Amino acid sequence: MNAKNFDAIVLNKKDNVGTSIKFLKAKSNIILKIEKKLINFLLKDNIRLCHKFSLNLIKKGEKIIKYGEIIGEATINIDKGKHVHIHNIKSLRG
Amino acid sequence: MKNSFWGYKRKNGLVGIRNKLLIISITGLTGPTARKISDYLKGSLFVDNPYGGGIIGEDKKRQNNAIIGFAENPNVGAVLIISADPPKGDFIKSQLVKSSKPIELLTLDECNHDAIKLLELGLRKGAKLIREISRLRREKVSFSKLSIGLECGRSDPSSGLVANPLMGLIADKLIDFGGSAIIGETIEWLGAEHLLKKRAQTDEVKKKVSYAVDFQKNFAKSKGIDLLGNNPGHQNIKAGLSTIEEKSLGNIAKSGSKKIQNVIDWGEKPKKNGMYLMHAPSYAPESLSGFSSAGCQITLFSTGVGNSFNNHIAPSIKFSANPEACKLLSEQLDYKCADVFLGKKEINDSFEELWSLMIEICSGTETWGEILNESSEVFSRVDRSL
Repeated sequence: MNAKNFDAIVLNKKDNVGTSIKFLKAKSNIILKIEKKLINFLLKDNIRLCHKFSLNLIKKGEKIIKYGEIIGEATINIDKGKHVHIHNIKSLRG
Repeated sequence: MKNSFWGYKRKNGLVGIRNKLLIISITGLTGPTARKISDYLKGSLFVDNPYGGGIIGEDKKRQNNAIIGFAENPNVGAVLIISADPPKGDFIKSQLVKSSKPIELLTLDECNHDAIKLLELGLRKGAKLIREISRLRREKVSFSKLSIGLECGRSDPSSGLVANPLMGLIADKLIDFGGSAIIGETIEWLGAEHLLKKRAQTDEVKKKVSYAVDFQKNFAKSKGIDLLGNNPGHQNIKAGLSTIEEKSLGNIAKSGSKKIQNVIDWGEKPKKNGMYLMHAPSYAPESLSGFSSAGCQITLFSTGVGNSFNNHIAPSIKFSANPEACKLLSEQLDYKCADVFLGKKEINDSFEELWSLMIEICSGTETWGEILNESSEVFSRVDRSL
């Protein structure tokens, strides 16, 4: 059982995106769970439940990693703490 | 953990978690009357094949196999086959002899194509079959007799993070007890196939995984389809899934960690116990029917934002880890695991709860899908009709 609450999770330490577990407001300081550790993190965008955000600056053409695996690549530069979705990443397979 | 439940032992050694009369219309002409027969007979299951004479080649083989598969499913105690003409009906009936369950055939021909006569005869035959199978009692049986279909629909990232890994734990445990499990939805292996291939039992199975994924991908390409918007679909995208790779990685979490025994075709039965991949379409009705015609007695069905559809012959245990869906869908979700998603509960505790619920449902407790009758079976097609 987790003693502390958290707002978003990162499944694998290789990941460069996190996933929110509730609606999160832009410019808010959130608690991020990375594997078993909890850290503070500053968001830039509003993030809806279950949506993703960048953990660091992701440059155009860089791979997006979730579950420790490639889920696509950035189509533009994505600043740290920004919403990551179909407007700034694309599939490499579909 | 408990490794047994209360099921119906069949004469051929299989075990049902339900004991139903299946009324199956195998020709399009007989569908409306057969449906009326089923409406009258409480507890019967109705399956409608809306096609007939124009079905040839691969589709004919698929449809006959599916009809036989649905009828052979161990949840079916007896079968009433309704056919327009005797040859097709006789063929299906002859294929079912080895299942050693009561089978009756009725044709429109023998009623001079009078639907009212067919309705009357069907009701009389169906009623007698229900009385006959109702004599059977549940007995204690082992989970080694269970085959489970693993489905996800209207997924969101909570499916990939919690609900599907939970299914993977159930599949692993069931396989430890000697049972079998199947995942389908080939297009949702795309981007995760390297992980499935690592688990392939043989090199041949590895090749079959690649072949299946390439087949579906090239099929989409040949039709000029962009997967974005189709799979992930608009609802997946709204819920936060961005690419097919992301969806696939969440999807294959359903398959747990055991070796992949083989890649089987839509509706094909696993030959042994263990984990199987079914090379099949993704949309829930067609995917689930592949499982029930392959002999699965139960289906586990995770959803992100909610999905009211269920399988007809193999009851679906519907569950979600999405906190909003868990609040909204009290008579749809048989199990809610939002607490795991929110970090308030460990996944292993949730796994034990879901396992207990599965034992309960296999032993007779009804799912919401059964109570509300939100289920059906469909036939998969690959070609056009004559």
